[in-house]
Amino acid sequence: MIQLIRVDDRLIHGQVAYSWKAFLNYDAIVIANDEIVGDEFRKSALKMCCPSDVKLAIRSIEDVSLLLNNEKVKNLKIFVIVKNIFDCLRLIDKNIEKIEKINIGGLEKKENSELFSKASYLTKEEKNILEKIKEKGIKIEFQLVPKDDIKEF
Amino acid sequence: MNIVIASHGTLAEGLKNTLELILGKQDNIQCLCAYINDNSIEEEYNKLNLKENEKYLFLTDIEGGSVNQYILSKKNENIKIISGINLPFLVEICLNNNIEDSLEIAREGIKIIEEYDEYKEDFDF
Repeated sequence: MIQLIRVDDRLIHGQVAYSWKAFLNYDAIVIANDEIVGDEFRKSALKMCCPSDVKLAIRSIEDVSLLLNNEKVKNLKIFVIVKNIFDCLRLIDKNIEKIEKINIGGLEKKENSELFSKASYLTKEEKNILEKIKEKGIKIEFQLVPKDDIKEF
Repeated sequence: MNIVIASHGTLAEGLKNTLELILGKQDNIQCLCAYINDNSIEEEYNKLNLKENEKYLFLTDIEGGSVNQYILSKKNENIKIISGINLPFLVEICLNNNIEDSLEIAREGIKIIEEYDEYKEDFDF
């Protein structure tokens, strides 16, 4: 089952591997990203950042529903990470299972973006996508680590 | 667990700052940064908020240094000292409060990084 979907442009790093692991004790990390699937170097680097007792899968957004719908995976607590808000909406639209909320933990500053929450910058386009996600009844929580206060979108 | 990180210069503050980026705010950690001004170590030590009858874990930068020596001179049954502190130790002690486990993680955490192993997926379906 999906324990949490996180949007984080750094994918796996200290906050994910230590803070969220301690808080959720997830069994596996699933990264849904179309570019990294074909990038052996980045996949190896991500594997190295993954806690040693946690399984890791890196799939395209198209293929990730196959994995998450597999019976063997249903019994595991899965921490799903996508790199950006656009991928997040694509993932949600796969209707894999009912999603109550998403977590956003770090989006770098880019052109025409403004700071929305600690370390998270949003463009107008991204805000529009978040509105669409919100309309589906999904809570959007900005929070880098579990100890931080949540800022809702 | 009450923790004091003590260092020559600003390492202690820097470690705490980095730790809090990873784990969020840590209210149980104080810092002693020696020699960043004209104050003596004693003056810096006296600025710490140490309550009587509470236990403190002092984490110092290096065993042979003057900071460690000074803390050692203050040692009593409420003070435990560990020298040669690193970030893996701090992360582990803050998550699990276990000194022995954290020491092991700290030792495992310093190593030569050669190159990445070939990526193999953990799911074969």
